[in-house]
Amino acid sequence: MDVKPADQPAMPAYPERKEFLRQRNLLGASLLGAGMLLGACDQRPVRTGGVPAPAPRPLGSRPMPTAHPSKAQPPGKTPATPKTVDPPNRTMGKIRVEPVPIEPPPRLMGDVMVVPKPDAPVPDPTKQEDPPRVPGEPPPR
Amino acid sequence: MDVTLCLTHACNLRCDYCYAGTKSGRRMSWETARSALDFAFARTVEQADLTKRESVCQLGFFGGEPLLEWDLLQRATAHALTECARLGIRLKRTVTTNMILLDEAKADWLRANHFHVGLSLDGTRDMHDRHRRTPTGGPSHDLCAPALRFFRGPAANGEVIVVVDPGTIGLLAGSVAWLIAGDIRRISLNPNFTADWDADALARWEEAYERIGDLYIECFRDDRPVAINIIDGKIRAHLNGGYRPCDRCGFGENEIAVSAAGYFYPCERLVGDDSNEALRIGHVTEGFYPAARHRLLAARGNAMSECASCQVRERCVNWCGCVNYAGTGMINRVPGIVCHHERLSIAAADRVGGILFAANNPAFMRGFYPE
Repeated sequence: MDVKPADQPAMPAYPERKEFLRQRNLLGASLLGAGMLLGACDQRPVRTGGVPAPAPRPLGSRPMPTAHPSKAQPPGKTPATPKTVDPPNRTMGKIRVEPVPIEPPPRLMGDVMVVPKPDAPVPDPTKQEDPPRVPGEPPPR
Repeated sequence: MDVTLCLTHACNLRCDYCYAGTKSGRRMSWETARSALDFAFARTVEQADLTKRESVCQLGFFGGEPLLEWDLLQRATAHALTECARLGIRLKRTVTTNMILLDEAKADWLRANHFHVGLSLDGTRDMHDRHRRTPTGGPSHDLCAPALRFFRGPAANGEVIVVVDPGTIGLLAGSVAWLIAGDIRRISLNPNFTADWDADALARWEEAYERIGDLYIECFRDDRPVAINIIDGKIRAHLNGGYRPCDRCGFGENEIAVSAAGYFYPCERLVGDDSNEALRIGHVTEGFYPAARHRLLAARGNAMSECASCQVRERCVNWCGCVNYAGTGMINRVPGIVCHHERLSIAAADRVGGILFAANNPAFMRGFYPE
């Protein structure tokens, strides 16, 4: 029985994995290059958690005061430790805000998302590989 | 070396497309099962020593209906686990069943023992009962389908195997939809290549795969991904630049199937009713028959010159000895229907893959382009 279609299939519209990674790496490199062109990156302050870090101090210069001179402590005296009391419930104006329990995020198991049940055993990630071909199933494995 | 034990040639169904031959009722003895396992584990250790790779063996149970020999299956598993622990072999476990005898206790035991279970079911009652009949000719869907409840959801340790036949091809997409609606996440379509596929059936096959592709896309858009072999396999084959050596058949080299009487075959799909001496490559009491085995190993592959220039040859299963044998009577000659099917499934997979990739679908990217 010869039922071969005459035409050859077209090339897929999604890339091979190697090509995809290569393209992504190229994109990353080009973005980095564009950032470098915007300015001298090595002289710009480094952002650490939202607060701009001070620029490096030129050699030989005096350090800038970190607070108003009236708040300066006399030499040899250590500043008092501020009292930090964690109230049981935070309040915002007159509205009492109860702490909300944080639920664990869904676990990712391979390519599917599973919401763990409270008593469910934790799946062993080493058992989550692609399943083998079962006897009688067509190839490939 | 992977080993599949055909625990019995008996079956509690009489599916008209079954390739396992006459249901003789012959069952495997414990001595045969143990000898076959010991033989396979010894070869596994030898191969690992030669290749300096991890010792891995896949143990499969097949039939007939292997759950008819439940005690033997459990005993063989216990022996395999003991021996593999002693020899440092990582053991994968599989079984293929029609589910009639699969109750909660058995399902729990299979899950606890890390079995991956192949579930022979053709989907909806209409489609299933057309071919899968009881020995008295009655329908079997109501006997088989209830056990599906043990395999629902993304973490299920099983997959449903649906036979694709020209007589029911018009019902195929509806059956896949029914399985997906029942939260079955792994579906394997198993074409009956020996059937007579006329032009009308071929056209409906194409339509069915297109509709199945649409269902697949819908599932990924809903972030409930499914695995369907004709789509996943072809997408992965493209992503990897073709089937890798480890995707291909072990076929008598690092894979054997053992009949109930103890004869070795290159693949469980070639055991049949254990009467074809030309396909036997050994026996548990004698080991391999070197001449017969080498003759088969030398002949495997693809001898078709027209395949050499085909653009999709690296994504085609033209190397599958059992499929070729079923269609042409030769393990290295590809039947035309296989060529047609491969192009059909590649086209369906590429349409799906292109759409989901273009949409940057999170489930698709996570599954096929992992970090």
